[in-house]
Amino acid sequence: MSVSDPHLALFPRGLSAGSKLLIYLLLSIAVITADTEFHALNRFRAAVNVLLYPLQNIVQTPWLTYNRVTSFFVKQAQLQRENSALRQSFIQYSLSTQRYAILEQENQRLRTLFRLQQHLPLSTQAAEILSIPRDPYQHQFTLNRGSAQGVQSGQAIIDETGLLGQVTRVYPYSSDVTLVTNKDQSVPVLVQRTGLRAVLFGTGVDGLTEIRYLPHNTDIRNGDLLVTSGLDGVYPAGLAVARVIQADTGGSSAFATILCKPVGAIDYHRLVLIVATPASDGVKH
Amino acid sequence: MQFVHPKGPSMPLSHRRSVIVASLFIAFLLNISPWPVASLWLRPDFLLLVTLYWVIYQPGSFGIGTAWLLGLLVDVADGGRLGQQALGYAVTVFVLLLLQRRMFNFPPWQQALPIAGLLLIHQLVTILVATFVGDTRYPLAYFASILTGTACWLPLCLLLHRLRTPNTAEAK
Repeated sequence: MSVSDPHLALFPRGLSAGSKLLIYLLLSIAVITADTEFHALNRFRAAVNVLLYPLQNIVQTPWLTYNRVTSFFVKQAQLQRENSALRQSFIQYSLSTQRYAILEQENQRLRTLFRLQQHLPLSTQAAEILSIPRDPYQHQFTLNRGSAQGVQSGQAIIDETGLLGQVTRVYPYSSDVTLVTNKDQSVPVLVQRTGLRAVLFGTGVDGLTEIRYLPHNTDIRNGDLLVTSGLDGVYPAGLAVARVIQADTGGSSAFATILCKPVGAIDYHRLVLIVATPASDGVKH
Repeated sequence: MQFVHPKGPSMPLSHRRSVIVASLFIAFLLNISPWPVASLWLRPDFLLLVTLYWVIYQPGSFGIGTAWLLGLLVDVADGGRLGQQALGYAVTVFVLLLLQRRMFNFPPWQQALPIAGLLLIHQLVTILVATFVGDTRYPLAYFASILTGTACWLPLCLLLHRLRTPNTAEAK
């Protein structure tokens, strides 16, 4: 063993590097087990995260300043172009919103006629993506809203295109979100074209999810949109989740292989919406 | 077993404790700062590189225990599994401690290759932990950060070498 002492001790005392490694190895195994199996260290996480929150905000400032400066020196022509584009999309959206309001009323009436359960309107809260872990394989990100703002574990996270993931850990001022591509995530979905119900699983690969356990004679094609079915009571119904990119129903495996690409995307300082479900007690780990 | 440090021109120089703490703090800030999402694979682990530097040049004040705690801090900051990076850091620093005498006498450009090996060990340990816990798919792109990390080693060495001050204990 090498003597790691700068004072040139002739007979250095203390543990050798090997035994130290053994101690820390055992300690790591204990910590990993306590965290992944028993979720026993969530208080420790929350405490450290409260301390880290100001640091996470500080490191955003150079980026934000750069953004502010560049957005200040924006061209008049570009502004006008953007403005007219926004106007156009506003007109389109207001048209469809009007139709949506009428349809919703009609739907409510029909539901009362059939004595079905009423759909409650979704209440949402905007949040910004604060940090993305260095290891892309975690399929996670951190939001700048926490339990102080009423965020709860299990709530769905959406952006303007569709479902991104689910809040899995809540700290006082921030919260961790697990993406739908995470290996441990599953979302009950509905194929919009046919109304077929299925479960979408994360694969652990960037931008890829799959539908498992569907027979070979299933009517599913490339480009089919999958929306949440709302059956689990966790995700509200009707959010776009993914699009089928490869539907292999003629393979030799027991079930059809159906790969899908999630519609949502993540980036720093991207605004996302936290969806408060009426009954958000079903928490997945 | 060796009883005396090799005497060389670099011996009377050392770092102040404040420099060590400040460099680790800045490296941690770099680790948690925004990075383009498309090239997340290339993101080097600055904190690990600075840790390795201090293990080579200040082995007396920097050991497996400190590395383990820094790894745990990274785990919490990333929201990952607690203990995964901690074990990776501890094992990497252990291997470096075995090589420390040799590495101390190498010039920085010659240290780069062993550093790449150490970064590979770090990646492999973290993958091993993830595999035991249940993750399976790790593509080759996952190892790309070893190359960028190694590329950062030379500038890092040159920068931190400049912050050395004459060793007061040696001067007496």
